[in-house]
Amino acid sequence: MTEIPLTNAAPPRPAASFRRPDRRIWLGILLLLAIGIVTLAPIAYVIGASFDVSAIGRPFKFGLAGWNDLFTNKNSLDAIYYSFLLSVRVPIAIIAAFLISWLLIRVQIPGRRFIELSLWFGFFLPVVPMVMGWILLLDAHYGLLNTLLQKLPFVHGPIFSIYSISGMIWVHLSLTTIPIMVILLTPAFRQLDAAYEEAADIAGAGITGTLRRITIPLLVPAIVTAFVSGLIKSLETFEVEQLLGTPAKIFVYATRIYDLINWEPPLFPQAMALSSLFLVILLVLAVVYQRYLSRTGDIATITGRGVRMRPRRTSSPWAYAASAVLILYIVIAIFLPLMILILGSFTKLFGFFFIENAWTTAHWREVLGDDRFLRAAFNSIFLGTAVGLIGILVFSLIAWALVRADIWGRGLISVIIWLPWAIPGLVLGVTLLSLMLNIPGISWLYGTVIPLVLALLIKELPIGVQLLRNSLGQVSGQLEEAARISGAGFTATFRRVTLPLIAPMLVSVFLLIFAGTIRDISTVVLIATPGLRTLSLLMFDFAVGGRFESASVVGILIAVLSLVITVIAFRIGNRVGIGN
Amino acid sequence: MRRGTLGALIFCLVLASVPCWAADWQDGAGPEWQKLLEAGRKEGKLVIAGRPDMAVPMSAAFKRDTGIAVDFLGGEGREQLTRIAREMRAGQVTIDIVFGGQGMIPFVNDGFMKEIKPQLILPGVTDVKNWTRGQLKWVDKGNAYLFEGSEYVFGWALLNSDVIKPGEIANWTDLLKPQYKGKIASFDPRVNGPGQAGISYLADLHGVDFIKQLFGTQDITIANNSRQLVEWVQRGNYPIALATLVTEIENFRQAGVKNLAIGQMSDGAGAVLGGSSVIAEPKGAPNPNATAVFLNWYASRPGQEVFSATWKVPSLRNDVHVDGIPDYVVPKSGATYVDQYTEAWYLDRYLGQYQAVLVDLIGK
Repeated sequence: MTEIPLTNAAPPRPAASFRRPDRRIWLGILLLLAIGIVTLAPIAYVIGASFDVSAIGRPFKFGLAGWNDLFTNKNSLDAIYYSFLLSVRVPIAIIAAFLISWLLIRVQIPGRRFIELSLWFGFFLPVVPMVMGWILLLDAHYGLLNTLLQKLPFVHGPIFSIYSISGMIWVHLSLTTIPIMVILLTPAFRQLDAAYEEAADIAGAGITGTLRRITIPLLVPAIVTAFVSGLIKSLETFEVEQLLGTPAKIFVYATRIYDLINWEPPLFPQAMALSSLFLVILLVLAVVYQRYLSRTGDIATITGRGVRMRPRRTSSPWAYAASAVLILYIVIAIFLPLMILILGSFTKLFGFFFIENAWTTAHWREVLGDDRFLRAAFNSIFLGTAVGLIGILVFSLIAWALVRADIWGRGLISVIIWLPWAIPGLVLGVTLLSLMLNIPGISWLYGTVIPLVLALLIKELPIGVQLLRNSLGQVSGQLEEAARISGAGFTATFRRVTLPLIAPMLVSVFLLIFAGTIRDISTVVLIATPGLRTLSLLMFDFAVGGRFESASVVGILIAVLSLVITVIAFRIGNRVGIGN
Repeated sequence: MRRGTLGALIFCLVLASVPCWAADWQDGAGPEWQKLLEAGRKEGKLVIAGRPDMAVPMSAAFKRDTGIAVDFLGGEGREQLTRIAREMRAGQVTIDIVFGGQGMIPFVNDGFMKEIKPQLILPGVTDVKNWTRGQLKWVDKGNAYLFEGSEYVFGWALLNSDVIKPGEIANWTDLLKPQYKGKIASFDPRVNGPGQAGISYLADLHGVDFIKQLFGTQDITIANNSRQLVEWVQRGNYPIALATLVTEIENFRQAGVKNLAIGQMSDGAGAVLGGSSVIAEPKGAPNPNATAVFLNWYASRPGQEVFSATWKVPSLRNDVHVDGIPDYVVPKSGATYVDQYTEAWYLDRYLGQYQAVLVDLIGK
């Protein structure tokens, strides 16, 4: 088969108003400063604090204790090793997610809406209660699945052990890694012009040939972004490792930092040195990613000659078989622990199904009758929506500047955008708290909603910008050029051409930010005032107080709320997007 | 004696025998208190940082008794300390009252805390007859900053009675027996909380070499969540747990779980702790009048009843009697306990001797 040339490889052609060199330079400097301040300030604080061996709040005292400890302490080295070992789930997830996305969007297998919505729902489910559900299913001593399987005559002893590397990888894959990868890849599939695949079909390529030579190369930027994001995020995950790793004496980067900060006395220099090391790892990944993207360039699949989003719909038995396999996976990976979570919320003691008078609705009545619940629900919806809307606006402007405006310092900006992910949420929270309280002129912001919005925007900046950047890269600049030739200004072009063309990704980014905001605990726990506590913080409070039952009620309600928002966002996205 | 006179006498005796808890907690308060209460109501609310399980009962009871609302900041105690430490050092305090333990002593010594003692003005609070120790209990050596409302015994192991038979573990030293290797879990002693107190008590009792031996040979599993710890014991993952919270144990028992046993040891009565009953007020707290009202209310009968009922621990007030407090946390007369909630113990024993050892037990 002959290679199909990937035309419209979208050389970054600057927009008309940014063709003057001085404008490009000034815009670049301005953007670099704006992004630099919000991303580099926490990083500078972390690096500085890694050399500060004084007691908390005392004047700075230079010392290398933190760094010495990092390279000599076996526990720190083990934590780094386990972090990388557990990140093996990322390549597994990217392959699985690519296949699932392809089946959902290009093949359009039966039951695709249910599967896609279930994956979104799975992603929204709060991690801690779901992990508790998995523990009830897979604990070696009392796990329901282990107990059931041991009733078989040929099974002696527990089959599964949740407190293990494989247990942690499975929980990650099922709860977050595969769902998030599908969420990241499906919008890119949606923006794929079917004409390329049809051309391959006509040229005689089979399904695998088309996938290998057309679909995958066209989606490389999205796949690489998902892979790099997943890898970085996998290194800083916390809840699963704390619940499942601690009993198995498996500590990772994030749990190690949490311990170092929470021990008495806290070992801040060591925690900050470990964060700084992670910063180096992240920078290497970001630079490699940036250089790779610069070399390959963006591949525009939506061009001025029109676009057809028609899927490779098939009703072959294979499509039904694939659908059955995926639905089975969804049932096992999402609905089984969810069922345990729901049942647990109706038990007197979470997970104790076989004690006398085990069942009660008291926890639901307690949560729904609690004044804090309504306030937290309002705060969550308000914050999620505000951060989501501000996020997609700001991030799409940054992405546009990176893809279209050909500004000065584009590569550098692309790299520093990743920096907020170099530090775990708790460290970011401590850092922002310290910066806000100590920088004259901004301390009045402390206690208002602004630091919360800012912190959450900073946290979501890397994924938001990178996804929208890739999405814009899939849209040929010719379309915006045509709008401008027709007399539209920048704002009209951006609003009426650019944004609708990347609507699927805007919806996804909004939902990711929304979910990230209402699920976040670590970043906001130190800066949220009592009046601004969110549902996830209410859930956290219940869990800290040992009330797992009430925590699971709040967790279920968070997921339901997120699902409602997802459905609404999809409908809005369909209405304004290129589907219409 | 005539019938009328007898009746009057009985009435007087009944009145005299009515326990003082029946009296209003504000009885005898002078105009100064009324002025304070009015000023507090004008402020309208105060912000309290404490254990999340106290949020609803304490806020509701305080509002009921004073008309002043509470904004309650929950979360982990260590995160609250991280936050309040930075606020105090930056001079921008947003929290009026902090519930905590001895971890606040360094802040007192650094001059960040406001004296509570002069703010306690209700007769029912200042009258030493109302307190079991014959005086109010303070954790700080100046007896003015860190007020302790309750005191309970801590120094027993939680056992799974299906696995560990009664009397099988009678002394703390029994835990060193080889058959218990891999069977013991403990709250993390490196973190401010029950693990620190429980394991420090073992060091108080048998010296630091004992805890080094215990953690060095018995492959003890560490937990950071008290609920998880109790569940492990109940399910049999680890049939022995050190340093568990009484509230968690009692929640399980009230739900009908039968196999949780308290292992009282013959080689030590235990330590007495104040837990989260210790309150402090940072200097520059935003609602000083409402805070002063709360301090008086908390040290009075209704405040202590709420705390006692929520935490299932006895109050240091004589007139607080709450159902459901288990025997094993009530100090016994005649027994000798280590009082860990004193500045001397915290500075000399804990910071001076144990802290480094506790961190090294499991490894930095």
